[in-house]
Amino acid sequence: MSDHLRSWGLQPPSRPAAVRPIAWSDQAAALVNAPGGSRLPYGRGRSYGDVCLNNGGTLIPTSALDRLVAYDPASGILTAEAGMTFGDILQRVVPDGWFTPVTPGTRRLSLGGAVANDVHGKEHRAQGTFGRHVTEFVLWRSDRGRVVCGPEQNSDLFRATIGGLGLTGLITQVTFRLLRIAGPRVQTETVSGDFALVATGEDPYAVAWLDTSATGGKLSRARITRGAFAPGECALARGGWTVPPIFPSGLLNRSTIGWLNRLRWSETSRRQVVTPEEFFHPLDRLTGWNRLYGRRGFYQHQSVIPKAAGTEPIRDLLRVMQRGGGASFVSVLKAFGPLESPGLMSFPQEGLTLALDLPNAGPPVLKLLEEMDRVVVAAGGRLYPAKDARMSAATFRTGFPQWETFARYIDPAFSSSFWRRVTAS
Amino acid sequence: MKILIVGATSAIALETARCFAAGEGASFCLAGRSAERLETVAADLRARGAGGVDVWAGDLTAFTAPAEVLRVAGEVDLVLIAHGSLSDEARGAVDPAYRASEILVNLTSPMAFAYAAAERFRAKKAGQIALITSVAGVRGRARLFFYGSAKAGLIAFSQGLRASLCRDGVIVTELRPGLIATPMTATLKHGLLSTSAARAGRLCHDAIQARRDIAYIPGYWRIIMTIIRLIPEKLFQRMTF
Repeated sequence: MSDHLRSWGLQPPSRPAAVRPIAWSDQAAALVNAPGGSRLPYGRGRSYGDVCLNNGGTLIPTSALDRLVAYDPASGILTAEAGMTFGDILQRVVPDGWFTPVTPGTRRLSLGGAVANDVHGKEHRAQGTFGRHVTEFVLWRSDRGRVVCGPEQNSDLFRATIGGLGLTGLITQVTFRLLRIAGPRVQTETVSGDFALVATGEDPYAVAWLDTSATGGKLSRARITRGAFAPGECALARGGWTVPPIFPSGLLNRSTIGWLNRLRWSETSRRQVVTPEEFFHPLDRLTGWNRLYGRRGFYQHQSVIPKAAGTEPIRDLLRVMQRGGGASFVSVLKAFGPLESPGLMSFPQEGLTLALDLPNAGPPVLKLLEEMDRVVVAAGGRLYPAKDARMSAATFRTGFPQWETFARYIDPAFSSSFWRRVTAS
Repeated sequence: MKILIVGATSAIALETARCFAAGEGASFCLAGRSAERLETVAADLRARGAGGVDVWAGDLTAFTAPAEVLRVAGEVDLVLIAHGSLSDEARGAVDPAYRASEILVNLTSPMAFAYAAAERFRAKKAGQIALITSVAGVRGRARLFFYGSAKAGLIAFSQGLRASLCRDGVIVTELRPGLIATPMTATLKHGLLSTSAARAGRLCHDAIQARRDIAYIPGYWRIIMTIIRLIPEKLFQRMTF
């Protein structure tokens, strides 16, 4: 079973000493109190690096904890168990004219994971992070038992758990506010232009795809897609394809990625009405797309460059990557607005966030990624723990100076591979 | 549509019920051991569009349970019998009390519920009984034959019950899952043939609605089990799967 408990980037390799799934919340007390080494909840394995891994410790998979607890179609308040996915929630609420208030790039993540990583999407300027919409959750701790947390109740633990990487205890259920939508379709507009355009416009959703193979004067060119919900027929979660685990590492390399990027590039503007799935989760149609990178997997480098630093650090990141021989297939730039998250360790800050997927081609890639880290740190930015498998402890601590305050809220029985790595001295 | 589910905290039963709640707006009576867990399932089904949900918590293996549960459930159109336990083979080999209690859960008690439902449905000349068996009951193999023998009994029972009810307008649907990823099977090795509980539930729902006699879940297990049944005994006994 532990074979399945990988992270999305398939890096780093990790093996838990024990796997103890939770299927009912009445098992939570025993699981958090069981003797033995450190433990960590494992949702759906959609974080890329090691925040969801606990090498040598215990993992508590939550996927069977997937039930709705309460849902009021009139008010849009929903309570569900922590292992339920956004996809399952959408299936239920979209016909009633609701949507998740924040929609990350996959709908196959768990609700607990969305809280623990304080996820964001293409709507950060309008909605902020997911944690802003959470009104309550139930947390099980080894030292305090069942703790109900909300903005006014145990608010310090509430703040620490949002973006708390699963370290503050086992979340068993979450209550949050849904978003009222105009209809179950998305009106989109895609244009080509400078990537900085992503931070402009009135549409609630915006994302830019960068052609990272372009150089010189074309370095800033991007395809910018904006969207807003629109009326239409409800259509969710159609079938798709599953990627078999047969692809060799190295198939996606600089030359094939450059070639694919050129194939995808277009100058024409396009307006169309699409399904939410096509707009928010195009990669979900390709189940297991991470396997395209082969057994060695890939690294994602997602950073935020604060508004004050301007757009030049983004171009620097692209230049550094190109100079180092890297190429990224999925290269996404989004804007973060000023809306603050309640989360103590929340990643977003006002500015631009750039995500680059780099195939794991061994030590040269690690060196290149470190060079990119230096650009981010110099700009006053930081890296997204949910996407990270390798940043140095120093990079982490510079980006998250509040980490020591946060550490006081960690459950003494909990730990993760990520946390041990970034706090090692 | 009103459905009685016996063993309603089973993952496959829950997924099947979800389909009936969302698709048909069905009402439910949920029977099982733990009141707290049944309430969790009830809340989930209500939030997914179920008409009404009642709960009966108690010992399903008690002799009096079937009559009591059917009385509490009232008029029902479908009885889904889903309780069971993946027996520990090694313990079954050495512990007679465990052996007796496992046979009780996996065979005697499901039979008792099916008999009680059959009596009720025969009287009104309508109704459907669905039983969850297992591919493990199709041919006994070294790794899983204690569990498999109870399921084999339930397979033969379903066939006979179907024959005895066929002139009364009562349908008996046997759902025969392969390897499904549920908490019950968490200790088994899962490979390419493993199916999610959600998919299994959808297929069970469809098989029940289509009034199938026997439905492998998913259907490709029919091919696999046909081949497995054709292997000569002398060869089969040496195979280690």
